[in-house]
Amino acid sequence: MRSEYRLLARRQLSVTVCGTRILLPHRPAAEWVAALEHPSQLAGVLADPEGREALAELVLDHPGAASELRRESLRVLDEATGRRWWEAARLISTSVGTETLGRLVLAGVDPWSRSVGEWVAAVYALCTKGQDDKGRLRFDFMLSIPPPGYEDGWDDVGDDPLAVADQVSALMGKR
Amino acid sequence: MGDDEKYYTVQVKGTAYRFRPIPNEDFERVALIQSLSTDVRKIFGALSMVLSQAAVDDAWNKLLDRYVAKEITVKELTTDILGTLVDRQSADEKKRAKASKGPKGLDVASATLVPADAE
Repeated sequence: MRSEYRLLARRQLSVTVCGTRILLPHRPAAEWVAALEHPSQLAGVLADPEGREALAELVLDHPGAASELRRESLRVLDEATGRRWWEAARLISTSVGTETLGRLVLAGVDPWSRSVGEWVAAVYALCTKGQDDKGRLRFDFMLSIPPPGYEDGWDDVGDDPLAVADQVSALMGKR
Repeated sequence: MGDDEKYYTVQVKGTAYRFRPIPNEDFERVALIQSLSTDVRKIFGALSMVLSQAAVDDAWNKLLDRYVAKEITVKELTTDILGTLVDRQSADEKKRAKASKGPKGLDVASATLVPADAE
């Protein structure tokens, strides 16, 4: 289970590419948002100059390093936000829309002083504000749908098909 | 050298050089290194890796000679050669994708009346 406490943390994260551990310094949410322009290179963008050169060296020397960097970039987004990376990416993408960003700014949420975990939590709260249980469940479900190729990472409620059916029925408004 | 093998010819300061198509993953690898590193040696290393494999008729060695003689720069190798190859290969892929659709709305892959070797 992920620890929600780490969402507030201002600590270094790390990625491991071809057996080499690269530290990523703490970056505010604003820098994560900008870095998500290239999600597969997220770790490279967030690394310090020394880390970036080390990653470049690894990509040059190891054919598999680029795909490991991609995998680690998505994993570290997962770790920093406490959500599946695609959920975090969708919330972050939502956060830069004019209305959502405006509401966050008016609420005093500063992306330059918040961690990306806090930022994502704020966007989620904004998106689900005022929703009833059904609305929230529907939003959670839509958020959780993995992109093509990542279906294995989709959590359901375990191996209980009845529970899954209940969840889907609730979303479809049949309850 | 087979007749049906595809080559790309790129002009660099008045001289033409031929290259085989470069795998997309190699392009991406070079682009990634360029985005990560400011070290020209790493960038040149990436270019060497990709262009030396794709070059035809000793083209890469000739380009290296010109680089050593300072007639061309790493930037020219990147933009004039690699950039041109990326653009042309992308354009060719789009043409092939469009051609495989056939007349508008018809997916040739699912058509049963036209044998594959009738083209």
